This record gives sequence, structure tokens and C-alpha cells, in this order.
Amino acid sequence: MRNSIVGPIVLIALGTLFLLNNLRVDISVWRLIADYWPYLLIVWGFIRLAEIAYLASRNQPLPRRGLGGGEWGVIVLVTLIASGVSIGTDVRDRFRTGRANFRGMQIFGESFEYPLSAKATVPKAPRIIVDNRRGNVRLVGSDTDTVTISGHNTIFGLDRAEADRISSRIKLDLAVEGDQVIIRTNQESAGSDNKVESDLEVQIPKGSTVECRGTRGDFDVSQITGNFEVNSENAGVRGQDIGGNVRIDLRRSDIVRLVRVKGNVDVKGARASEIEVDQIGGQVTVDGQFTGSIDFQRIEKTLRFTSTYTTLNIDRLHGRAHMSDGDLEVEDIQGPLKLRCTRSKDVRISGYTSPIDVDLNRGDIELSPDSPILGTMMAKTESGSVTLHLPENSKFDLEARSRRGELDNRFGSPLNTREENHGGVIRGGNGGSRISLETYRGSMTVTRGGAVTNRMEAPKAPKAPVAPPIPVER
Amino acid sequence: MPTNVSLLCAVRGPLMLIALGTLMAIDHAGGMRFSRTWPVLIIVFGILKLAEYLNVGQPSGQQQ
Repeated sequence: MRNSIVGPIVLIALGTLFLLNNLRVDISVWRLIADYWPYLLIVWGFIRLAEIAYLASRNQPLPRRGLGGGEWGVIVLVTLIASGVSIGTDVRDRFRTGRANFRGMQIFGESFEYPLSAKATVPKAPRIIVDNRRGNVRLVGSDTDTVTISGHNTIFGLDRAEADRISSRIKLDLAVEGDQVIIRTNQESAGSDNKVESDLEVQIPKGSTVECRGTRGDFDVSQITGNFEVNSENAGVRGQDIGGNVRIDLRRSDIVRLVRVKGNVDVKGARASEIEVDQIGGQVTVDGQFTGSIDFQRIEKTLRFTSTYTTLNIDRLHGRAHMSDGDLEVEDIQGPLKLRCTRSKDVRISGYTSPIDVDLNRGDIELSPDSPILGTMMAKTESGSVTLHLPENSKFDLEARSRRGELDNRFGSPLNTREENHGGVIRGGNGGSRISLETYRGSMTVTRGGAVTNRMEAPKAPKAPVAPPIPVER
Repeated sequence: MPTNVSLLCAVRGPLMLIALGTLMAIDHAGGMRFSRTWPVLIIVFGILKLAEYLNVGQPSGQQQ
């Protein structure tokens, strides 16, 4: 560290950054740090590498270690602080862009509001493009042939004069070109992307197709007969009563909520929290990483859900599929179901007669089919218990195997239990659909269905251990 | 003349730092989470250690 060039460079860079922060209103050091800190580590590494290469090329003695203990300490500190800043700015942005704007929560400067409004006559079925980098936009369809915008710009500045200056530079655009209507808030002309937010409330004709673009902020669209499209870095998206298709492409999101969509739904979210989809006329495709709860209801065509660890396909979901971190519950489906999960998940499926295919790495499976069972039922878990509530009058041909675990046949005849090494198999049938259940490690239970309880039953008492032989004195 | 071994020792820290920065950048850009990719750091460290060991083992390697 003593002879390194990194220390001075870091100091000079820090000083320059903070000086810029103080002199230029449009540059926020905190945002820069939050956005680029990982590259700082890479640059740091390359500078050290270059130094060592230089020393080696001049045959000078090399430092015993490329980075000293002190330097690693600083790196750990930088990582912790920077990821803290990164989370901090995210949280701050969420506060700013959330529906409830917590004024007074701003850490830097104050916020000032400037009203916005615009109006234009448009064709009956326009294609409306909304370009709003930051802030929330709400579009509502109605029987009208005008686009009416009301709302406000919120400008974060040190004082009113600075905010006025920024406000004078940004103009709300409402341009009609043929059947295309472009609404643009032009925040970038403020010279910064994080000091202005525009919240808009827009009345549009019922027949509109809406396309939204943004960086941060929510989009809320309702009552249109056209398509609805969103493309944003970070947005909460809500859509109700959409006549066309919905396509949502997000990098991050706290919520996606779609209700009553006649067409297809396609959601891509690199990192999203919650998703709620209800009453969809077309097919639903969801692809992303989700950390919160996932809720699908009443989907008339196919549901395709893909995340890092889970793939779930359901044809015609009449009831509900609810997924949270470690659980998946599916009720009332019409078509076949296929589930693959590589992460621990407890799965409960009820109210179905169609074929299902479940394959888990870890987790319990509880199945409650309706009678008559129409398709092949396959369920496998590597580690976890499997419970099948079989309807009394159903026709089936069952084989339920546990390689290591207890077997419990509460259904009785025609099922027979055969114990093998550490597990065994319950087998039997009356000439119906094939049911194949398997667990590598865990108990296997088959009960008479009908009374479906969602509560897990109390585990069976373990077998008493065999008493050790009493030593006999001679 | 610095030996291969001392050169490897010296570049280990910076290379580890670059690897760490790259993983953090991937995480930051919305790609794979660091919580999933961190074992790469152990692998990089292992490879550097292995290179060092192989260089020490060579008869031509100048040992200090």
C-alpha cells in the first residue's frame, strides 16, 4: 500500500466527485456511487495489476502480497458502504415514486411542485406512447375523443430558485402524429435524471393502445380495448379491464397486478417482487425472478410460469395457483399440470381430474384429485413426504414407492403394502388411470379422500427403539 | 529478477479483487446474484494457489 498509486487516486477521485456534487445541481454523487461502485473494485484491481507488471518489467522487487491486509479491509468497507448506498437510493427512490409521496423524507434538499396540463383531440383508436422517466402515470379510458393530461412535476432542489430554473427547462409534450399520440415529460432536459419526477393522470379514448416507457415509477392503465405495453427499469404495473394483449418487460418491480384482460399476458421481470394475475382470457406467460407472493387466478388458456428454480405449466386454471417462497398451492384446474422445482417447495394440488406431473428436488407433496381421475398422475420428490387423498369411488392403478421412509396405507383394499429394505411400495388398483408416486426419502401416505384438510396431520409417533440386551452375569 | 512464485503471490490480490468486482457488477446489472456466484472467488483463489504450487514444484523454479 505504501508505494501504491491507488490511495492518492482514490482520494483525488472522491474529492472531485464531491466537488461536482456541490457545484453542479444535475449530478448526484450518491447516484453515481450507487450505480458504478462495482466497477470501482475492478479498476482498483487493474491499477494494482499494472503496478506489479511495471515493477516486474523493471526487475524491481515485488511486494510479497499484491494487496495488503489493510487494503482488503478498505475493500470490505467500500463494498459494505456502497451496497448500503445502493440499497439506500433504491429505498429513497421508492419513497419518492411510490403512490404515497412521503414529503419531508427527502434527505437532500426540498421538493417543489409545478402543475402540468395538456389536451388534444385524437383519433378514435389511437396508439398512445407515454415516455416518462420518473414518476407515476395513470391512464384511464373513457368515451371521449380527446387526451386530457393533468398532473404535476415534482422537482427536488436546494431552494425554490433552483427548482424554478429546472422547471423552466422541462416542457410536457403532447404530440399527435396520425393515429399516434406521444406524451413525453422531457425530464432529461433538466440536465439530470433524478431531480424531477412527473406524476400524470391521463384521460384517453376507450379504443386506445397504450405503450409506456420509463425508468422508475408506476404505470396504471384501466378500461381500454387495445393493447397495453410497458417497458421500464423499475416499475409497479397495474392494469384493469384491458381488451387487448398485455406485454410487460421490467428489470425490477415491486408489483405487477393485472385483472380482467381479454388477450394474452406476457410478463418478463428480471427481479420482481409480487405478481397477481386474475381473470385472463388468453394465455399467460411469466418469466422472471420473484421474491414475493405469486398469485394466478382464473386463466382461460395456458399458464406458463418460469423462474430460476421453478417451471409451472397449467392448462386452464379455473381456481387459483398461489406461490410463495416455500409453498405452492393449486386449486381447481381443468387441463394438465406440469411442475418442476429445483428448490425446496411444499406443493398442494387439489380439485383436478386431468393429468399432472410433479417433480421436486425437495419438499412435501399433497394431492387431492377429484373423481373420476382421467389422466396419468405422476409425482416425485427426492426428499419429502407424499400424501394422496384418493376419492373413494375412483378407478386407478396405483404404485406409490418410498425408498427410505414409512408407508401408510389408510385406503385399504385394493391397495397392498410391501415393505422393502428401508422403504417399500403401496400397490394396487381397479383398472383406472395410472398413478405413480415416488419419494426417495420421506413417508408415503394414501388416504381415502373427500375430507380434504389443508392442515398437515400430526406426525405419527416414532417406533419405540428395541431394548438393548441385558447383560447376564455368570 | 522476481521469481514466478513471487509474481503469482503479488498478482493474487489484484486478480481476486477484479473477480470480486466483476461478480458485484454482474449482480448490480441485474444478472446473477452474488449470493449465487460467490463460489467463483474460491475457484479463482484455488487456481492461483495451484499455479503457485506448480511453479514451486518445478526444479527450475528459483525458491527463496
